[in-house]
Amino acid sequence: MLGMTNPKKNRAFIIKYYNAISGVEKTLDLCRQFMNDEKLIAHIRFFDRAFPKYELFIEEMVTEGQKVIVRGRATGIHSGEFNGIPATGRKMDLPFVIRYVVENEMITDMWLIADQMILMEQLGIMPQQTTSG
Amino acid sequence: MQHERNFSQLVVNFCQNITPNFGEVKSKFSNIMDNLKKNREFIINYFNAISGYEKTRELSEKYTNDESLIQHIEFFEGAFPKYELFIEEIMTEANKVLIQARMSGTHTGEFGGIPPTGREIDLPFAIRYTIENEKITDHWLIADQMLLMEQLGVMEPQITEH
Repeated sequence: MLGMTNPKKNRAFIIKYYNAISGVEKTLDLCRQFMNDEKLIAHIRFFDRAFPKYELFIEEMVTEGQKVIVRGRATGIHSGEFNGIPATGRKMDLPFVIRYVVENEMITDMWLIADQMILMEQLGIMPQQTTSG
Repeated sequence: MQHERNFSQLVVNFCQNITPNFGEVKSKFSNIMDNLKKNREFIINYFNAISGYEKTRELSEKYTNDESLIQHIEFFEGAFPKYELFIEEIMTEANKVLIQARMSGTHTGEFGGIPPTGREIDLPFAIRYTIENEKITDHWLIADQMLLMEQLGVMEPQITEH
């Protein structure tokens, strides 16, 4: 039991991380304070260029061992180019689920699932779908 | 090993000294662990019971009383009969179980207005269940519909490097 990773501590770390990056410019320096997962850094920088200073809201967390799951929402204004789509000035409010692995107060791995269709609808690229499923 | 055991015994002795009801605390703790394990096993059994089979309402109702989940399953079963499920990761906390998995199937039924294409799909998703008394009572689900539309050939593949 001793030396076991502390899910409570990891949860607190992730909350601190969200508070630190939500609503501000997500610089490389800022990212590196919380993670060494290059894939995640690239993802954050990519989104921060398209939706500068986007905000994050945690809706639910599940923790087990070194893993922390966050179900949240990202909100921001599309004011930079995104995957070939020029800035539309539209608002994004995108639900997502992300799983972090936390080691010694650092995010070392993650996966992320979001519905890109919702984002395309919000950017006005795609007509609203009826999705009863 | 002997050292570790001695040390564990020391910890137990210490805890018994400071908390007279240590036994009770300990059994509460193992109850929690048992419960997590039970919920995890329940969900694995559930996936094994429905993956690759016809997902009738009767089958769903053995495992859940969450009407929105039952309808979601019926909707997908209509479009991708006997679709299969593959668990990739499980996390449990309290009465919640979170699964990251893939569903795969063949598009042989109408899906949200799209007539059958005969195409194969393989769609990653994450789902969170709440379990009470061996029943799923609540859930949320997230998947990338864009990926699904690409797999059905309804949409051009996007450059999505992130």
